[in-house]
Amino acid sequence: MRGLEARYGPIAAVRGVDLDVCRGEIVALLGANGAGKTSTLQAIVGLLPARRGLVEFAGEDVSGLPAEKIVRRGIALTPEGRRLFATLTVAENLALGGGDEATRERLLERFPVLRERLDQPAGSLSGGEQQQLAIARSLMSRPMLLLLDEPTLGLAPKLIASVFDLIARLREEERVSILLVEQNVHRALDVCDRAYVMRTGSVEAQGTPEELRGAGVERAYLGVA
Amino acid sequence: MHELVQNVINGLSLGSTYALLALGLALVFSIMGLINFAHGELFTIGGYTMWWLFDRGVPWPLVVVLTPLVCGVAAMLMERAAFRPLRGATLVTLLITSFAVSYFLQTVFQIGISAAPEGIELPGWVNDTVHVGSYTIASVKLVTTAVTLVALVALTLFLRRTRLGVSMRAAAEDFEVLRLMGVNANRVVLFAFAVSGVLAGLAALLFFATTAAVDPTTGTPLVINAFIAVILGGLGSLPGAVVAGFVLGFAEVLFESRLPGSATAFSNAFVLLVIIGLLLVRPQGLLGRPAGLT
Repeated sequence: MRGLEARYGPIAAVRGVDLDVCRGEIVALLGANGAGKTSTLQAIVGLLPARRGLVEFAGEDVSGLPAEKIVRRGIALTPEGRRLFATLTVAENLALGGGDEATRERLLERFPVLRERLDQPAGSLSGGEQQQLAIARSLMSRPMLLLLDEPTLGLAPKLIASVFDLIARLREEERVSILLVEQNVHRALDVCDRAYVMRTGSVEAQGTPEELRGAGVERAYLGVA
Repeated sequence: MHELVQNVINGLSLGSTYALLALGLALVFSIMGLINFAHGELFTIGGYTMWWLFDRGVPWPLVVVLTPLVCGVAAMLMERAAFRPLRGATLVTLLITSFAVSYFLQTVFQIGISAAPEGIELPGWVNDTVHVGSYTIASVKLVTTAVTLVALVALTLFLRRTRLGVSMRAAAEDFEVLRLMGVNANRVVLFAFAVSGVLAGLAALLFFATTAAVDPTTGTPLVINAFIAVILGGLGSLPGAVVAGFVLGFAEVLFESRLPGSATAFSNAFVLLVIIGLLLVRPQGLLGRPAGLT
């Protein structure tokens, strides 16, 4: 993605962001609240119209396409707050994710608790189960790139560790590249190959976790020691 | 007792019309957040379709099939021509558009057909009666209730068993996330309009089989009552719209039959008083929930 700009009305949420995710990579997008991380993800999938710039995916310019078309090209977004269809059952949520029966079976093996809850409304699941469902729903379409927006938000510490384990395994087992937006900076840097740090809509720093830690980025931009 | 049974039958019959219209309104509202006041004109189109077809001697089974279909297609055209170009516009803009479409169609009916009511030449069996014990019941009223129940069951199955139906329920909860599932949002909205049009067509069949006359504004008071039913049932709740449609039908029939002679002119005011009372007790409506199509 090159020079991406997106706005909410008069407010510039994303200002000229350049960002790459290579095949098989986990890339973290870090920053304080309001830095433009979620807006960047929304601009990638077309939910927030890009005013300028280019989003290229698998060699194709997808900027300006409607969200449903971008998603069908192989990008999936698991939104912040999970945003499951609460009154629909687990099975219906999965079905809406697309995909075939074999994919569904494979994901139910990966997330066995979902198989036990197939006929329950998604809103009745615990926070951890809902996060598993949200990720499984995104994986139903067998995306090449998975955008995860704050996947650990609101989860208990024990569950947070399991979500990061899952992210690390997904790359290997589902062969999916991941762009991860996360407030939990230490954990995100532990799991990613590279990271970008955003502030007020722009990328302020980028590099490998070691480079960013060495440069004191956690303290300088993210307010963590 | 005899009068009470008669009132129940009349209430079921009138309530069926309101319930079907309210269902269509509620379905579109759930997905788009729009109360489509031009829904009444879809109902009127149903009436004119019946008038035109019967006038040309088309057999009634074909009229029964064609009327909801014509209304469904008209609803899709309405979505495509008036509402799709405004996708993403504010609710106020959409609401004003729905009024504009409503008045536009009424004017088209006035200029293109007539401002005066057109009589619908219904088949003779519509006036048949059925004897159950000591009761004599108009067969059309029984058919009305039965058709409504079948339509409700069919709609429930459609919403629960088909991918498109599940997509509609999902759209009612979170339209943006549905797009993230790769579902074509325009298609879901278009089908919601189509289903609401078919329901308006069914309501028209049942209503005009009793009144046998249609004019350009026939749908207006009915869609307002259906809107009241949607509010009373709880915005976003389909069962709520149905239950409230029947409550409204029963209340109207009851007040019209029970109020003393000079007060019957105010029966609608009494119905509205009851609704205000119910909404004071349950502001979220009879079966209202915070969000979602249930």
